[in-house]
Amino acid sequence: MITMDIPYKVIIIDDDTINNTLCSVVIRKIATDADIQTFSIPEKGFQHIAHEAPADEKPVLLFLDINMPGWSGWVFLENFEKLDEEIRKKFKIYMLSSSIDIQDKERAKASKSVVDFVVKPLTTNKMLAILEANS
Amino acid sequence: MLNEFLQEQIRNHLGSVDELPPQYRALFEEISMEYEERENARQEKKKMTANLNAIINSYGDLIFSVDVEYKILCANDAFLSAMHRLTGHTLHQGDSLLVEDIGEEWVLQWKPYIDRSLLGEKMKVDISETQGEKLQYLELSFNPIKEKNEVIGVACFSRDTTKEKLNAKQLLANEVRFRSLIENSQELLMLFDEKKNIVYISPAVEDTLGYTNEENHRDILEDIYPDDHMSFLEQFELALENAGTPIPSTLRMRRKEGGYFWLQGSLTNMLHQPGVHAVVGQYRDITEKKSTNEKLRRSETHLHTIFNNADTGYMLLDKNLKVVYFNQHAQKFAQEELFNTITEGRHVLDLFPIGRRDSIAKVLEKVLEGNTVGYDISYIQPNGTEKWYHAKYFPVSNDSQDVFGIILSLTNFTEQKLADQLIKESNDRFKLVARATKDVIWDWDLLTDEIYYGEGYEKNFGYQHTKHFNSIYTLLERIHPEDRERVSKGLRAAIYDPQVDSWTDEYRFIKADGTEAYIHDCGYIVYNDKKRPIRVVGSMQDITARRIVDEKLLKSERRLREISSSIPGVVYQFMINGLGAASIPYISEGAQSLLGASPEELEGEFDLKMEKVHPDDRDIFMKSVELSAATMEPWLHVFRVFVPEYRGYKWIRGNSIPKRMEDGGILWNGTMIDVTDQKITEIELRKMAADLIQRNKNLEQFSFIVSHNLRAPVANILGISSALQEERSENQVEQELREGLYASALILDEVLMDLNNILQVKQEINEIKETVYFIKLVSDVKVSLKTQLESSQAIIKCDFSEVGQMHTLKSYVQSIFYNLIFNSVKYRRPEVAPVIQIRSKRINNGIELAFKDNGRGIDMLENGNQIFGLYKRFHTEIEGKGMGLFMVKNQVEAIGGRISVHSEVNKGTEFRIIFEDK
Repeated sequence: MITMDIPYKVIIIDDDTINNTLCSVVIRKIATDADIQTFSIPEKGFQHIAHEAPADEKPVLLFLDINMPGWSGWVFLENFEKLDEEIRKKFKIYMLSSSIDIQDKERAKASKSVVDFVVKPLTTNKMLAILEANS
Repeated sequence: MLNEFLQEQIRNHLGSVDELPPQYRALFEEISMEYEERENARQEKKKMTANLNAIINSYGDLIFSVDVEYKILCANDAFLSAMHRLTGHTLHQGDSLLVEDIGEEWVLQWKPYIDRSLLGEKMKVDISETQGEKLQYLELSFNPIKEKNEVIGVACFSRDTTKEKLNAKQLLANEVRFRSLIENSQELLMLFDEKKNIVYISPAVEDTLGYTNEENHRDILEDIYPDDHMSFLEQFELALENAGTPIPSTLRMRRKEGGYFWLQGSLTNMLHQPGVHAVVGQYRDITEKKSTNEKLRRSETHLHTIFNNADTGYMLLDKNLKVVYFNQHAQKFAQEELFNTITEGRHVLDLFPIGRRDSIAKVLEKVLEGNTVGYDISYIQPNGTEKWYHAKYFPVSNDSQDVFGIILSLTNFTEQKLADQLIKESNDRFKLVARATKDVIWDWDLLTDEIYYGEGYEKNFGYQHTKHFNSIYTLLERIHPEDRERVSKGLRAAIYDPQVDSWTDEYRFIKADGTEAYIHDCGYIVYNDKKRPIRVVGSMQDITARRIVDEKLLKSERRLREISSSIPGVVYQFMINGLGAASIPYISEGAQSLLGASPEELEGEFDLKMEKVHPDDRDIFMKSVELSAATMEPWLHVFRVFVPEYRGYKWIRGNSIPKRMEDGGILWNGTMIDVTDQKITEIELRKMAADLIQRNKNLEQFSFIVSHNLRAPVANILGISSALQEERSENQVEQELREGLYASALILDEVLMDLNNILQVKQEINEIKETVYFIKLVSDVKVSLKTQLESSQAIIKCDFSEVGQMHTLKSYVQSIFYNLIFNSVKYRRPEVAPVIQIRSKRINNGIELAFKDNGRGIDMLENGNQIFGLYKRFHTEIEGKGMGLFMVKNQVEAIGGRISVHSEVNKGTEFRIIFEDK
């Protein structure tokens, strides 16, 4: 199995831990040593992004779920957009949702902070396409 | 110088005169002069005496003088011959008057007067003597001759006054007779002096004119009518020139109390006439004498009243055309129409405007010739209307037909004129109407059986010889045979029934051209004194046209009635009259089945209690009627009525239009239909709709569950199974199981996706509409299907030139475009590159979109009704799960469109979508 190095840190924020595990498995299939961090509580994920992640050197691929208890993905985005430009520019946000609701998809695409909308499950093909787009 | 007598004496006594001594000579000369003077005086005296004698002898009157001894001093021949005649004595100068035998009578007559005169008395004595049969009168004047205050004689003059005396006697007798005559006569006698001053007026004048003799001695002209002055002066002058000749005279004299009298008579100059010494005017009051005038004058007072109160203006003109009399109306006429004022004595022509004087003068001339002239004349009033007068001029003449005046009467007959005009107009109108209407007037004389037809007979019916001598049978023959007997009987019955005075019938009449006319005939029967019918006057009215219209109306009425009774529901009239009473004037047959009551039961008064109406609906029902009445808007109302046959309430929908009536009430014309079924359906539908809304909510709920709650675990299963089958197990069986798990998860996810899509269509309808550009949609699809389009070498041809955009839900149209294009690529013919033609077109009231391809096509016969069904797949060899067209149809309908398909196997498919404006 060929693995590759990816120049990103990956953060996954989803209350569904199964999905978090799955995503980690899929990403590690591509890059065994990938730096992956998962948050099942969106508020905590945000705290990390706002205060700790900027210290990292690598840019971040952020997979964000929409439907979560507490902060939804949209609320998370609203708060994200309040952060400094310096912080924000380090993050490539992908909405990762099981929702097949067209409205969600449209809304995500309309948001300037979101790169794309990815329908769950994240597969190796989808991940490869993302990496290719960001290379 | 010495006179001849002295010279002769001197010569006789002294010789020559020259020889006389100067002193004597002067004396002689003086004597001579004195002598001469004395001689001259004597000669003079002698001459004078001779002259005097000659003078007195030339007198026819007796002149003589006597001295104190009655000796004749002088006497003229007339005296001497008279003495001779009377006494028979021939006397001479120097003889005594008292000679013997001179006659005692004579002496007695003369001597006392001479004696008295010798005593110094002057006297005049009238004596009379009879000379044969002739009585002679003498006037004797005795004058004493005085010398140095001593009477030396008496001079006597006698004048033969026989003529005078006789005249005076005659005059006296005349005077007495005359006076008694004039004082008792009706003749007006006026005496004027030569200066036209009145010196005497007779009592008749006093009576007539009211003057008294005390007021005399004034100029008569003051009392003569001014216009008569000239003629009177002429007459007076003529009288003066022709003494004794009566000059005819006519004049008007003023009465003391006003007004003038016509006097006719003569003027005679009798200034020379002893005892008269006046110009005598003898006049008769011709106003009295002439009957016309008399009547006029006598009735003047009455006439005055009458004239002034009459509507007619009167003017009395004399023959010089001067106004003698006029009444108030005449004055009014003059003031209003001639802008002039009438005064007595004014020339009538002066009253008229100059332009009319000639014509009026001609009229007056004719009238003066004895003609009566009348004419009508109108005067334009300031307000533009006309005032009409009838002017009439009557000559006023005496018994001998001499016109001496004119009466002018002016009658305002404007109203009459207007009335006449109206009558004339109305007559004209009547004639026009008679001509315009096609009525034929007929007049049947029952005694002669002659019948007269008006001109319309020929005109309307084409028969000639319509004037006269047509028997009633002519008329009857021309009546349609089927009607003839009835008409004839009816007419005869009417004529011979004294209680009936008119007859009316309608029948068919055969015109000259053979066509039939419907006639309405109406006759009035005229009876004589004995109640016998003598005439029938009638009119035939051609009512063919009306008849046709009537028949049409009847037919139409019948048809309407049929319609109204056969249509479902009822046609009705509902009325609330001016007093507020409600009624149903008409309701059609349908009432029986609709309301369970016959028209007979319902027509008439309407009970506003509305017991049959559902109690819940009564108030609203009344309010709706009141609203319609107040606004005059149509009444549209649905209400329930209890129908016994139906054993329940029926829903009725009333629809009527109000109309204001003359009495202030309102009449509604309308219909009522049974809407019970609709109403029930409506109620059911409403219930259903409510159910559907609930179900829809449930679906939305379900949809949310699918897209979120269900989808999340499925995604996980899919992801895990995918990862597992990628891991590849060494165990062959295990690997097959991993792949099976993954395949199932994949299908599960697809079904879930489809389900979600279907549910979302209904939900998204709330999206906001926006303008969608078709060309943009196509390019979006091209991006999405880039791989498929390139690999299949598909060509997309677009024509959106006619309509480029539409206002709708973007996501739906997007999906429609995507699915249809993708379908064409998917179901292309393997050997042919797909060509997809998309075009838009404007149709009547919307847009048509057409998607045409050259693909495999669908067997319409076999699958036509299933094309848009869910999970219908027609090409099993190609991947697809039969969702696309189902989705397209759903989305098209969701945004208000229709989709249709036309397809042929191996040729291609065309989808047409029509969006119509609502």
